[in-house]
Amino acid sequence: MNLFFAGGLATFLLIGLPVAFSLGMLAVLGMFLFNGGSFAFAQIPIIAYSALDDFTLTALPMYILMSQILVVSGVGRDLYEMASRWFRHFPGGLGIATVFCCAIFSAISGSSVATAVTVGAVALPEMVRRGYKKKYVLGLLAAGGTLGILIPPSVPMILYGSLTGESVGKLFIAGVVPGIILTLSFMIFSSIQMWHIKEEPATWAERWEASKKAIWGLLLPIVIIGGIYSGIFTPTEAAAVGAVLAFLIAIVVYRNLTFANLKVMILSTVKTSAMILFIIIGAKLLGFILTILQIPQQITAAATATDLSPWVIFILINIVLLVLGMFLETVSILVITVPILYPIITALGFDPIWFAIIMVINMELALITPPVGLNLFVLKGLDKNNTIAEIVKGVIPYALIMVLFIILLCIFPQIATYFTGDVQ
Amino acid sequence: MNRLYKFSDLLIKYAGYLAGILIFATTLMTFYEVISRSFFGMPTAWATELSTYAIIGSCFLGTAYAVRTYAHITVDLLVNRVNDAARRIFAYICNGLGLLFSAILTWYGFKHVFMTFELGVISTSLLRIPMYLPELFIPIGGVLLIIAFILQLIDGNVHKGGDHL
Amino acid sequence: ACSNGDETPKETEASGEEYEPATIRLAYNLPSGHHISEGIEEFAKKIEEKSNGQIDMQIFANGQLLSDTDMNQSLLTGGVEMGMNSSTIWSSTVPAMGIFDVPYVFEAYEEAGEALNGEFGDILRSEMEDVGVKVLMFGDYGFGQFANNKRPLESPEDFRGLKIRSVGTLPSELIQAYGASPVFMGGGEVYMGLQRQTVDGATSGTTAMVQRSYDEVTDYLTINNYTYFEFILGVNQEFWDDLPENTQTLIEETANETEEWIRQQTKLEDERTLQVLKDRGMEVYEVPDDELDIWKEAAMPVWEIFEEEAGEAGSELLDIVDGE
Ligand code: NA
Ligand code: NA
Repeated sequence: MNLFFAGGLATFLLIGLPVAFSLGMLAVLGMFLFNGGSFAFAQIPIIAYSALDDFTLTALPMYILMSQILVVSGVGRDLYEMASRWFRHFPGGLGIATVFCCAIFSAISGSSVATAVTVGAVALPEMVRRGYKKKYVLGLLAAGGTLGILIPPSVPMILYGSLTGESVGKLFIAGVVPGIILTLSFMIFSSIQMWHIKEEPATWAERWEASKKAIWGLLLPIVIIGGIYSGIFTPTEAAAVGAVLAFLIAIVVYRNLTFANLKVMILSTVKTSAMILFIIIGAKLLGFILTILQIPQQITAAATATDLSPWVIFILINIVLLVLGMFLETVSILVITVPILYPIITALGFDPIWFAIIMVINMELALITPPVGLNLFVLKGLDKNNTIAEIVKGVIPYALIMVLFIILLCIFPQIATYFTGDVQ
Repeated sequence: MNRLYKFSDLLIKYAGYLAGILIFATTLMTFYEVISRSFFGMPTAWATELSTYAIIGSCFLGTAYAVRTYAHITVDLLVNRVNDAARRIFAYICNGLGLLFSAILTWYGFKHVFMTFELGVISTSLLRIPMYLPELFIPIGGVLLIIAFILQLIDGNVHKGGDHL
Repeated sequence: ACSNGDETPKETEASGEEYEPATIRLAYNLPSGHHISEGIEEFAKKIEEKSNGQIDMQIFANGQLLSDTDMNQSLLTGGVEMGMNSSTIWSSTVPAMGIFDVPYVFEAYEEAGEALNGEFGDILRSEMEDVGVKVLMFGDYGFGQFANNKRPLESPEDFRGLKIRSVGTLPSELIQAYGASPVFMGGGEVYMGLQRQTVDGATSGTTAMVQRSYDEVTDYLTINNYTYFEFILGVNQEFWDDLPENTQTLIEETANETEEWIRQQTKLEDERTLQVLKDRGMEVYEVPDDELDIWKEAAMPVWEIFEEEAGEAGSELLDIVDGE
């Protein structure tokens, strides 16, 4: 049965059936063959509706809209020009600037997909124009976007907290230092990878000129971060505030929104957001059938029901999470595995807060591992000429950095736990 | 026949615009909620709920347009490496599978909406919205998907509907 | 169903009956470790044991299969055989189920138990059977309370002007009746919303407040026991009718035992978690018995709304609880 699902998915994807329909069709087949025939199809609309029945998901189309406005109006270009004039004399300077933008935006939105789409829409065309290799840029953006769930606020951490009763405050604090280290690692790696691109340093006058021009664009993250941290709006609502502000800036300051490019903007927002949301529906449908057949539960239980030493079990757990992460989306993985893994981890003597950080990094990996990785799809959606193969190739080094970082966290658990002792 | 084809394509495109308007509406409603709650101390009873319905609507109304413009992500690993004949066959199989999925989604979607209507299910909120209304987006989107995949089958492997924007 | 409640379960064990093989999938959306979850785990284990493994109980916790909202229709269409979710969600389909959200209907744990084992419970069971679900168990979640960041809420007037995160129709009506505004936000955002004071407060049972670390982000807790959260374990009626009689008996008896166990645990857990919240530094105000009438009086508009919406069954339910 496991082979049926893995093989079925591979077949559908390879013959070119869109990801969303591959997932959905496989779920339909699974229901038909293993779950009571067409009788089970009554569940399809229930799951399809409930996949999107979540207010926090409304942020996604709004962030896509915002990024479209930033691109069309030129706000994004000015912002990026500023970053470039400040950073371009470093080796791979724009890579550093992009990771920095990802980290900031991650802290804001808490959504990896939103981060990849917003920063990607601005950074990808600019970096490619300036001679950065597209493959590298795509990998950088896919990985940079995942920082959103490690740097607080983080929805997976809140979920882990409510599934286990661990303090959400501690979890957030535990994510800060690993988030910073991973951000720095991505910056350093991208700088090394794109070492050969080093532009002439801009003069101070040029820097200030670009900064002045970008001031309106700069206002955006400041208002958003300020608004969230002062509690004026939630991270979900921040998407609406961002989109409205971007719209106002485009109309009042840039004055270049015409009815024609508004139409283009609307349709391309619809395409990208319907595409991602429909993948989420497909993933939920497949998740439903896999869960009801108890496949992920059995895999997880099998890996942990052994007499092996704690560290061997720990390694097996990570492998299972990696494999589940290839096929399922993150919320499904968490609600299925955490209740099984948490008692095992604590019984083996591992720190549950530290383990939460390990889980979150595994969820970051899930977002960029094929065949089902939302961030990969988002970047593919940004430009028709991007291929999944290209994005995957670009993202491999960053996936390796994440794996190395998990090992580092095993050797120095203090990275995650040092500051959590001070809370309460 | 040709006129029906053009009409169908136009229908899908206008559904796409409607989906976009729903995203705009969500943005405005959510923005209004923020202003009303944080600056005037009056949270709305409707913004969050209607936004959720609007986004569900935007997905189901917009997904057929995404099919027609080839915006749905595909994995291009194998398809880029086979000859035209194989690619053509793959395209027919894929559009056929897409059509089958859409038909199942539509039929069971209708049944689901009908059941919700019969049971008289309302939302558990102050708005008490009859739930069959937002659920109607599923079969409507399903019908649009069916049309889109039929158009793709007529096209063969030519990206006629695609990339015009 | 509950007429079987006084039969001793030992009878079935001693008879060493043969059971027909069956697979029952049971989905619910509460974290493991919660007392209702423990009850359900135990319920499933007992049925498997007593049937000598003939009945295979497959449990899906944590909403891993279905959310609370999906449960109603999934259960009705046979997506799962059994499902447990909150009465609030059922009130969207069966208005009488809103009775548990009517403020101050029950003032003590024992009252709820007595009512549910009597005519009150029978009305609800028959309303549910009308849509196609047989109620196997009323799982008590515990009393609902208010936590907030602004001030101690020592009377309904203290609610005036507060923004309180709410779920469900009637709890939102109550928040309005007390002069506060209900705020609707996604479940994942409540913790942050309280921390950043996007909302001033939230409502839940103390068990959930501990689970979700509310003590980290709110200062004041008011124990007014305004609602008695109830979870319903339902079984698809058609599936149930096809089960052999001895299997039905086994399941009903085990369900009744579990219901009693959960009810006892509810009281203990409410007390324990209240103590935890106190120990973690929340300032707790417990409404004294002689002031409860003020709180109840101010909540009367909600009774009227319920009576309007839930029709005849609703009035009957209110008459029963009001007669006490
Ligand atoms: Na974040
Ligand atoms: Na993945």
